[in-house]
Amino acid sequence: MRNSPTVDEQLGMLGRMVAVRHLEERLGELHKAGKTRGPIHRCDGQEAIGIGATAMLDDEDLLTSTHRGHAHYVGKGVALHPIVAEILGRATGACGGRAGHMLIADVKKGLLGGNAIVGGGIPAATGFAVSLQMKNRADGGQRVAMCIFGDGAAQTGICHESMNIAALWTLPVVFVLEHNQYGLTAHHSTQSSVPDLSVRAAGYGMPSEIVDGNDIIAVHRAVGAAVERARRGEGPSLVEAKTYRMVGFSTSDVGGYQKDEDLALWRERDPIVLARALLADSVSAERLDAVMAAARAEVDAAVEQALSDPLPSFADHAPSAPYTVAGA
Amino acid sequence: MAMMRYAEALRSALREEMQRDPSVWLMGEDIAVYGGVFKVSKDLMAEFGPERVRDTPISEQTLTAMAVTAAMAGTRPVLEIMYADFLPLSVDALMNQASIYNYIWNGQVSMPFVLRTQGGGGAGAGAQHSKSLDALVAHIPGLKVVAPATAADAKGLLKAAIRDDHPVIFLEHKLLYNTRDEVPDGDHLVEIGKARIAREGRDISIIASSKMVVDALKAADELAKEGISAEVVDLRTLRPLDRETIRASIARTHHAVVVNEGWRFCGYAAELSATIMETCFDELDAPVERVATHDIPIPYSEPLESTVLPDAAKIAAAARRALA
Amino acid sequence: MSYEITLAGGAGEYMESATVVSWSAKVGDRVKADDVVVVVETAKAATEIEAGRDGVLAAILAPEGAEVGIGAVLGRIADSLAAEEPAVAAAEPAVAALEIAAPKAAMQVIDASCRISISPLARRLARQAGLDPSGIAGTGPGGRIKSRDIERALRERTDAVLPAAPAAAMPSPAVARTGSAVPLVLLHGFGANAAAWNMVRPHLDGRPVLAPELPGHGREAALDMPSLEALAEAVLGQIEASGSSDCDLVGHSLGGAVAAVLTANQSVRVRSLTLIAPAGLGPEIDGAFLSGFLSARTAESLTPWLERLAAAPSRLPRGYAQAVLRERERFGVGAAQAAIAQRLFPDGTQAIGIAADLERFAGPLKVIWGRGDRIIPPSHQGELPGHVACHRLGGTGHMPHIEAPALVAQLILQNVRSAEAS
Repeated sequence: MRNSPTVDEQLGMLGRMVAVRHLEERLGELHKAGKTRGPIHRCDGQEAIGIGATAMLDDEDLLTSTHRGHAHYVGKGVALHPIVAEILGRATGACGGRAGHMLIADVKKGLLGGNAIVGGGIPAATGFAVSLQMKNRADGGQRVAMCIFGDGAAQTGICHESMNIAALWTLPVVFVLEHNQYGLTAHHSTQSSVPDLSVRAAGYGMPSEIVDGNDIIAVHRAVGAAVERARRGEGPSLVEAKTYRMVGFSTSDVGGYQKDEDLALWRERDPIVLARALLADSVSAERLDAVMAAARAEVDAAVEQALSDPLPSFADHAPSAPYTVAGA
Repeated sequence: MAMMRYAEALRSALREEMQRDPSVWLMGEDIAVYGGVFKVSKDLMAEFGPERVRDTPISEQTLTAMAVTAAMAGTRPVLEIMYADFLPLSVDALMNQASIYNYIWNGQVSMPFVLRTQGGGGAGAGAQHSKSLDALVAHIPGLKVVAPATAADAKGLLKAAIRDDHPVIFLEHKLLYNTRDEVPDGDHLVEIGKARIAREGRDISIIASSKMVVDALKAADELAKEGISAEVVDLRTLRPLDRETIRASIARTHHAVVVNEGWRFCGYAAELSATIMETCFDELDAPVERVATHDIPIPYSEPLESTVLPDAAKIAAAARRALA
Repeated sequence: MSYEITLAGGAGEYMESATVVSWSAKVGDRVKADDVVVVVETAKAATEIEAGRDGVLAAILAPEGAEVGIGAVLGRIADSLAAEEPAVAAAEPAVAALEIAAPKAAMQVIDASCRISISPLARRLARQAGLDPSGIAGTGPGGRIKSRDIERALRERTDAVLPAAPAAAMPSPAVARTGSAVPLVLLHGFGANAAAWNMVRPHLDGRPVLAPELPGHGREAALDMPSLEALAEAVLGQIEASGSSDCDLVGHSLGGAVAAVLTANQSVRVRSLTLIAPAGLGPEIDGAFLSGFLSARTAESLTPWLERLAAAPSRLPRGYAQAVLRERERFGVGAAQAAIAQRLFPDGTQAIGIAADLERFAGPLKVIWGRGDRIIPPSHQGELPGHVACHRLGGTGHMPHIEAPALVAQLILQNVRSAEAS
């Protein structure tokens, strides 16, 4: 089937999903141990979208993320150590400890970047797409922008403004709606007039598709098609990937609003379990165990190194700043 | 030198920079086919095509956010926001996006975009089309904010703003578009961050920007008839602020009037006043006098609007108080 | 106790200032709380301001026509006029005497309430000049002391310190007589005035001193044709007016040349002559100083030239430049001095000569020169005739009488005693 990943690609994605899950678990422990600052927004159970939707992107393709973006960061190719070091506030972090876990960016990998103003990534990706469209037309390139956003962000005014402009200007951008059912503590049924948000795409004359967000193959196929369309210069698409947030909004969420039966249902549909099952026929259990163990070990090594890394020293501006604080 | 209207000077800056650099492009409401409601971008679409001169939907919040990231991705957008009163729609993109990335991402990105807008009262445009929101944007770290008073500075600063690798908020004034001024020929650039002495004087420094410079100069004419020699400092750039020119002027005159067309409370004039206190307190021979717009919505009818806005007479009165 | 009558913001919400139109009470008048005492006018309307309490109008701080800001104190109401005096402490001396610790605390309270209102610039100028601002009357809004008040105080101090201090009431030119003693006549230099001798005068053994001012200097009117002879003629008139028939003559710079010319006069006998850096002994003079001094219009532009007068500029009187500028402003001497310079020192050259006068003078004659003189070169001393006693003072410039006043006074007195002995 078109846009289906090869076995090796699937193994790679499985390893990255496991790494993200293990990272979230380790961050939960580190948070409890007081080693992190502020809230951590974990993406347990949503890994298939972040990893599957970004698997076909190159470094020159630009991705905007959310406040719950660890799978997006890893999927876009950012190494584990700078991610962990950034979350632990170290000088060796991807942004020198200035950004924290919600705002990580890595220009070389085309991650620009996490965004903790809900909906902020949508016009950001649209703006990238204008520049990429102009560059593509100038040099024949096929760069695309992608925005992964949530069902909460879909309710913002800038979502509407951005999708209208993206479709109006035929921009090379792919909107990936990571529908995890909750905007903070509020269920989507209390936030949206329609259960399937992808129906809105028709209002912009934009194609859309709904996929099982816990099935990494389905995500990969649907998003892959949308990326190809954008690369051909045919404009934006919306892919709505249905999933479920298995943990609280953040580490400071006391919970109580998610139904036990829903959690149990979605736990059975754990995207890592599903992805491993899809490989069972073609890859030995030993090799799958080894891939998963290697991913966990990589995370543990990154955490261990980051914990011994130096803390940053203060500077009131970046080396390329518009002006120093004294000159402001 | 060529005699040019302020709006023509801006257009000439846009045209020259678009000719010089193919990555420069324009977007905004009604700017392409119509040429902008103040005709600043007149004829530019015909010259550069609809991809580089884009009419947009009425979507200020998204357009501003797009300018931020388009700039990050390698082009140089110049966004026109039709009225400064619409800047609040842009504020998330300026304050939560443009302002943070260079610092938070540790210098990984630059954002060479210009946001042009025009503000100011005196035209009977009412409470939603007459404001000066200098303080709103100048408050935000990481942005440069310029507010030229003359056609020459409008051209030189806009060219410099387009070439700048960081966000520049370019504040124009609706009552300045038709003012005329000598504009130097050739590649005329004015450095961002440098004030100028618009008129030399001995007794008092009037510190102003944008149209308030015009009013300050009229006030200085009035004061001269009374034997008061007023110096007018045209800030040109609101941020980064040229503290040294302000300090040096007050070190000569020992008296200051700070003027801004924005609201008085927590306004840009308050920042000037605090700056003077911090940089040259011991030079002051009287409290700094502040002239700004009354802290109410700008009313429509002429006698109401003129009561609320600063003008030459109010500036002159403030100077007399400072010199009492 | 007294209470302030203030201009409240409520008089007009967006009023930034108002003009005082009229006071309906005079200082000393009794007023009631609801009496309108003052009317102010904003751009839009007149506002009446009531006394606010019963009492006596003790002070009007914002006179009619004054423009005042919101919150400004317009005047004061007191229980009685006497209440304005700090009478509270004096009223209960017995209590104060018993409570030994109390006065100190009370003093601090009074100090706080008497905190003077002074601009930052005025405060800095006062500190630099070593001036206590608490005694200075402020002319700014609400009585705030501004830089102009400090400048005035400095001027007064310069005037008070420099001219004959002991007999302050005496009109200028000041002569202090002791019996029929022969007076010392002190002639100041170009651009100066009689105050130039203030440093020397305390060292002159209480001898009577006459310090005339040259035409176009100090309070003396200018001459139409200011030749050296005309200057001498004018000074002679002042000496004659004092009734003296003899004098000991001292002159500095241009005053030295005038003194030399005066030795030839027929009406007042010059017993001794002491010249300090006299003009008229050679062509060289610092032309740049002359033109810079004459063209400077501000203290900033004048001070660098004045500093050229001294070997150590810090020895010059504080507020010197301001004093020079005030004198020009008050008495219009600038043009007169320019005319003198034009005639006597054209193109930065000394066009006068006194060698012949000195040759003829038979009395004790001393010439004192600062080795560091940058206005008239000390080398001119070398051209003097053999009977002249020459003194070269190290560490001084063109103003030895200011930089080394005791020594200069000692040399003057030596000369005078020498004349008395012969």
